[in-house]
Amino acid sequence: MNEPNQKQVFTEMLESYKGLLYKIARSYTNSPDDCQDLVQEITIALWRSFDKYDRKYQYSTWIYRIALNVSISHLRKENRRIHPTAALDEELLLVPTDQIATTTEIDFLYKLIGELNQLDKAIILLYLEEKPYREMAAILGLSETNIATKVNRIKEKWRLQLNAKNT
Amino acid sequence: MAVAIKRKKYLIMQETELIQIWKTYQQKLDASLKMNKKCLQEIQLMKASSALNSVRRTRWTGIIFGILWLSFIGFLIYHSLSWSKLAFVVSALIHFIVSAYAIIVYIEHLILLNQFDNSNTIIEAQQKLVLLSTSNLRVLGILLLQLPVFSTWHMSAEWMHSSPETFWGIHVPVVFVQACLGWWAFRNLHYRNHEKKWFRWFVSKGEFATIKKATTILKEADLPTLS
Repeated sequence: MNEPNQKQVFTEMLESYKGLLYKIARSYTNSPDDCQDLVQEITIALWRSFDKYDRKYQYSTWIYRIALNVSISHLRKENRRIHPTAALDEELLLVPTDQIATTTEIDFLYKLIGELNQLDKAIILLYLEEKPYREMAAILGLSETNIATKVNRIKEKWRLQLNAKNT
Repeated sequence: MAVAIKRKKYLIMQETELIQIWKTYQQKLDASLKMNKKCLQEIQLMKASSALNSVRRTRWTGIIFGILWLSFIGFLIYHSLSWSKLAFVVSALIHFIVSAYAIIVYIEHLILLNQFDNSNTIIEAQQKLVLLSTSNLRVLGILLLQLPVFSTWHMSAEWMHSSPETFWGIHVPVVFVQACLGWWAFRNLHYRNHEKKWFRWFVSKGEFATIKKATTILKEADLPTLS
């Protein structure tokens, strides 16, 4: 695929999945500015590996894999600066600062997610998206049993928190 | 046993609720992103339209002065219809036709600019800018094609006989050069030459730069954003 075509396909793909990027980025950051930085970083990572995208996977699986990896490593690094690649226009990375409207319920859910460790965050994000354990295992490189155990632990932890909240 | 079943049902309910909240959030997120993108596109469309104001002004000025000029040329042609003034009449007539054509194209441009403001999508607006740019280039080529008439209008048989040296030695070569330049411009002012250096320089000036600026503004609106 030549570059203009590739850019076009990438742009369309990004357009379809931008909500997903936002959800993942928000789960791994504490402020809107950090969230935007992370979305940009994920976008660059997606673009850089776009030519290696294996068509046997769904776009969403591929995006999750990269987005979660970038999000986890993003937290480990401090004072990161974004250096867009020459091939990807800086304009493509524009993320206006407007906020997405949220409700108390979703804020609470994000608070629950925010209290989890990095890997558990990834697991629960996939769980909330109703991804089957097999796909979750493929995305995160863990065994299905391991995933199931972790999901149950998180659910149990949340149950206790929800009960504590309701009482 | 009943307590255990009740507890399990409660847990499933909690899980379902969480997933439901997440799904509802996704829907709201999508709607919000869509709405924000639409707003952004409308703002960019307004910005692009505002950037084209100078083109609109040029078109109106061109049409008004063009009609006045055409009336004047028409008047001169009408009062010069004689064989002795053949060169003038033919030159003025060619100029009249080309100018009338330019005015018609300018009117079309104004209609196009008006349609640009009413574009429903960025693609529609972009298409109109491409049409405007191409048509602008075409009309410029045709206007330059008439270049020789600015030298032929005062040619006469008397001049040819009384001063053949200046007529054949200077004037005719000038007309010939103008004709060649006009023809070259007519043939080459075309986007098929977009990779040539001189062409890129040419379309980076004046109205072409304005149209390009509007195109860039629209391009920004067409990019994926998380707004």
